[in-house]
Amino acid sequence: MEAMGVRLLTMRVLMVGAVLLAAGGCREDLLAPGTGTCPEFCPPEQLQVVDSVLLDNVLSDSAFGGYVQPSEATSLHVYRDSTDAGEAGSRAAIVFQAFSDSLLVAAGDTTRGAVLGTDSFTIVVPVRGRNPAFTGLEIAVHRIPIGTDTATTFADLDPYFADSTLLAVIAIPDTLLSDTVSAVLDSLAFPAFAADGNRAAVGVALRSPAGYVQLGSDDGQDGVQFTRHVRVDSAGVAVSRIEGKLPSFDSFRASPQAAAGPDERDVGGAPASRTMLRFALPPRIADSSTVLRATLVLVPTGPVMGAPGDSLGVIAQGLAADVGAKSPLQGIPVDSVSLRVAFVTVGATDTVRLDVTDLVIGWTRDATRPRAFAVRAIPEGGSVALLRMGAAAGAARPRLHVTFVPPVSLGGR
Amino acid sequence: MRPRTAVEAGRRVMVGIMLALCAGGAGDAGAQASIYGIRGLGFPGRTATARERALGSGLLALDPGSPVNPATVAGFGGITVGIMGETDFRSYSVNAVDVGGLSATRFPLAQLGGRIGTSRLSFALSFAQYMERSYDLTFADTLDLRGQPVAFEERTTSRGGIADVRGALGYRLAQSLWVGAGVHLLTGSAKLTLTRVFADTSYRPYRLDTEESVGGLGVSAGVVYLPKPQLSLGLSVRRDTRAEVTVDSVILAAVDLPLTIVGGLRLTPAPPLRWATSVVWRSWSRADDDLAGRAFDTWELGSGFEFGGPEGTSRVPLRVGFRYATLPFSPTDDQPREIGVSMGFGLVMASGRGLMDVALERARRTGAGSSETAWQFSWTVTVRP
Repeated sequence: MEAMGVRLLTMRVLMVGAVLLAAGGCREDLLAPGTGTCPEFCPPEQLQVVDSVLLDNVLSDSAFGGYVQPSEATSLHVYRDSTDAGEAGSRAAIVFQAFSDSLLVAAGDTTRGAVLGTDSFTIVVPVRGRNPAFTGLEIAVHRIPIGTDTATTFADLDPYFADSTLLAVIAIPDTLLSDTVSAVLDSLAFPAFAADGNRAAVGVALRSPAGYVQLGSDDGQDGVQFTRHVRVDSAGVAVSRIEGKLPSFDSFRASPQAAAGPDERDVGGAPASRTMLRFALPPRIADSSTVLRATLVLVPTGPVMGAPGDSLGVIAQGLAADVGAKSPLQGIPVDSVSLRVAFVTVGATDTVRLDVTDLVIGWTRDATRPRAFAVRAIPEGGSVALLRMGAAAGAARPRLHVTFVPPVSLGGR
Repeated sequence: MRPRTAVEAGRRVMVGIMLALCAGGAGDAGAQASIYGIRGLGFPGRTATARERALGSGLLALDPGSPVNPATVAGFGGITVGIMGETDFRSYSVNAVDVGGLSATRFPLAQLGGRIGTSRLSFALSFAQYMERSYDLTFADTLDLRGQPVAFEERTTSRGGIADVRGALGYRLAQSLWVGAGVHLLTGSAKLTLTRVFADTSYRPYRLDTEESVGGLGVSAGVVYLPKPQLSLGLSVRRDTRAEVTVDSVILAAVDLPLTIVGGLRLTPAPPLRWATSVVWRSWSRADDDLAGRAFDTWELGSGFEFGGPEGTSRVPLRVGFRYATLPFSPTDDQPREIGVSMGFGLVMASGRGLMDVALERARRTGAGSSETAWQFSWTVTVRP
């Protein structure tokens, strides 16, 4: 009996011990972080942060144009900038679809009545943006050739923006943010209307000495609307009817700018240009460091060109493959765009800094990835503004400003 | 017979569970031990059972429950299993900053030992904490980057330590003279993390995770001499090799480990009163050239009284103790010191087959511009099935 009692007691002790161990052995106690212990009681390894501007690491560059043509833009940029030094500007050109020779007299009819004559035209112009710094703006609507197309230049159109071709002047209210303005045109506004196959084309210019407006475009699903008010034969009776048409072509043409010099590269403008920059990343950074921040530094060679008061969104995008002008670009997470885009104001000469941290970190993690950026406007065709910056071979060459942590080995004592 | 068989089976199962927990628990000693364990190899583990701790480590050279003197292994009778747990509550002050409310639980010691058959030879396998290298530190400062002051917060954590796995044999040359030898395998690892987060989110957070491992070997030898029933003497010497610190498969450092000499005595002037004292010296200064901070030789003096117990009339022995020790590692030329007082009791159960010892210590550490105080509660469960 005594031996049995001893064993039972032993078992109880073991069980108590096991329970205690099980309760404690599975738990790691929470520790309050120590503070104020450094540097004496901190581990000896110190994190070094190095800030380095890579001045001579652009291997090459190349600029390409024509990524987004003005006729593909989602808005038509119309501006005028008259100074003592001269005048620059951009004008919209819109060719409308052909009107019909006959119209349905009433809904549900199957017979069409011949158009007997035109009473008037109405043009409705969507204004989708304006620079509020300029007030009292007026746009002038001119008659231009219906043969206007992508090959037509600013100079080709210039003669048609004369008083002799002026069809209407439309005031843009100073309070307008985004709305439409309209004008009624005389039936004789387009003398060659019938000869042109019932087609019409208009040019829109800013009449005020300085200002900038963005008009809706067909590519933006918001084109200028053109309406003809006509009389139609309805069983011998002339009845009034209207017929509306949208643009078959719309675009804008900016006054010519001086071509970029050999040490200059363009970003933005219309047609949109991109500049590809190829970098060599020092092995010290590429192979063993941790990049904290990387900034692409672009040095303009002159004031940003474009509409007064306008700004240009510029972004540096990675290349999925470097194959020249048609290099596919790496995608950008939507929520990263705002962090990586820099806006430059027309007329500014400030250095442009673009955040490229994610891209350079990607270079350090994947040696096969092209170490190149495409510097472009965002959105392309969203502005006529043009950034002209220094080329890789010039004194104002792009730079890469990298903040990184060299390799550190923990475990020091 | 069936009840007896069930009891036997249950006992074996429970012993198995305890052994499994011993191995797992001691290996998971990952909590912060002391601010004095950040530099150097860590904070030295105390291979003292709760009984010894209550006695101020005075019995260190003579207690078979402690893997210090391999000669004490000869003192095992039957199979003995012991496991120890410890919880401490700490606060420290450094650079005029007071930090309190720190707590950690660990299982620093487990041992299985016993006599081999009816021979004079005994064995012991133990798992003890040699060094603890766990900390969690935050540090805030401002850095000048790109011409702007950028605030950041840095956090450094380490979780791990070095374990001392010992195999020892003890032999009774005579009833009053025991000798023993042991082989020590030092092995351990720590997960290290360094993070820095900048207030300016333009700078990406920095994070580095790595794991270091430490390995080394050691041998120990000792003797216990019992010239009279009232007097016990113990002496042991231990020599450890260099510890290789490997980080990411690269040997980062090699640190000389110390020679350790432990001596102690136990006097029983008037049973059931016993007095035990021990002295420990370690040549940690050998590691001074291997470390960024300083390393010093250490001395440890412990002494305590025990009243009652198995050899007396009481089943609940009471203990008090005092301990003074110098600590091996410091960030400055000032060697830290530790002083502690302790008390505790034991509980003898099942005719001595089950023992539970409990100790409570109050420790104060000072030096290198810092001070630290701790309450340390420890317990040991010993089973002799």
